[in-house]
Amino acid sequence: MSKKRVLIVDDSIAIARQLQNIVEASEDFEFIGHAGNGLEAIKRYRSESPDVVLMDLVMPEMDGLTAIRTIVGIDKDAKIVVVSSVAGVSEKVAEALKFGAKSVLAKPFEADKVLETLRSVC
Amino acid sequence: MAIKFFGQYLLEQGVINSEQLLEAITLQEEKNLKFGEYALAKGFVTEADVTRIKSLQQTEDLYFGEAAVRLEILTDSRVAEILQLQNNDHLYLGEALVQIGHLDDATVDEHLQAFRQDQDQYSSNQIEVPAAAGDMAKSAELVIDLTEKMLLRVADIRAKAGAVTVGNVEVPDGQIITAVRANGSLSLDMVLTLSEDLATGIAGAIVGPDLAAESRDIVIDSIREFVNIVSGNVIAKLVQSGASLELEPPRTLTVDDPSLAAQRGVSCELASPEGNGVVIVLIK
Repeated sequence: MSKKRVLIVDDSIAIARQLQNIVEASEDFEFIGHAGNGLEAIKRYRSESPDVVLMDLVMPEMDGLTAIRTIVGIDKDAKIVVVSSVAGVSEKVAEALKFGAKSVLAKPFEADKVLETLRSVC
Repeated sequence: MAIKFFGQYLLEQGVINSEQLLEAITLQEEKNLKFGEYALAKGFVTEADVTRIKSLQQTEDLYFGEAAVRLEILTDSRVAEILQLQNNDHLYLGEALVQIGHLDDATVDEHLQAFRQDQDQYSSNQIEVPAAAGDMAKSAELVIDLTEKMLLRVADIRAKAGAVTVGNVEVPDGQIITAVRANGSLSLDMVLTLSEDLATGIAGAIVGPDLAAESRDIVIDSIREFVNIVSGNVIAKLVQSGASLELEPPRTLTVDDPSLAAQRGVSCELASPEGNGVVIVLIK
């Protein structure tokens, strides 16, 4: 079975690296790239058609909620998992899900929870 | 490993899926009226009263109840009575999931207990913030407490918070300074200064063993993310207490940044075997 291709969207290179390490250590997912804000995420989604996106919410230039809405507008079957420090705020989670995110993870996260959530949406 | 609301916990545990969570939140939004809507629905105020109250709220920063009292539409005791009734009628997420039929009462109770145990680790330790901190005391207490807890969670670093002081902000020389702002029903400016050693320890925990080969930029970036995690969790706690807040991305500052000049703040030193730092919450 081919590996599912993962795009990571986070303005923090450190967190992107941490998520990349988690993805690359798994047998069923493959890291295909990193976007530092919502605008870049939309461009990379168009050009690379990832199987799943890990998306931060609080980012400069374009936030994650706007990016989710745009990406789901391009591809209604887009699989987006929000990974955010504000996942404890129910309004934020509700907005992300309404815009089309498939699941939400809180920061700080555990590696096995990230992979479990990716598998649940793929 | 973070502050969550019950729905996020159930989602992460796989007890419900995202569609079920969204349905329950939507039902809560329909049933849980805001104070003014509730007072109108229950006949405590009229449409004409609401118009007058909203008009006053456009010129003064007042809650609906405060404006209603100012206009002598409601008394303080009637506002308290309505708040109590509104609280009694509140539909909680677990109840919403049961009403829709996604979970039964016993399952909700079982997971609610586990959720409370999970979140107990984030209950506030006793941090004495001087009364001079005024309105910022609660926020400062949360920021200090969660910085300590997240250092342990994210980086396995045990830091000890020292005495909390209120006064002019003093940033130690040679430290990495990171600031973050949240705006909304209150304005919160948090600043974290860290010694190079402590910052490197946090970055190493986030990035992993490759850190030694990385540039200093990634240490700075890791600290911004650490501050983002702390502030996001602080906001989650404040929102649970009724605040409404939006978080801005964290910024790295220099010691002479104008936003720190002649500022008053609540400060608390952190000491750990890896290094030291200062947590600051600015007072406007």
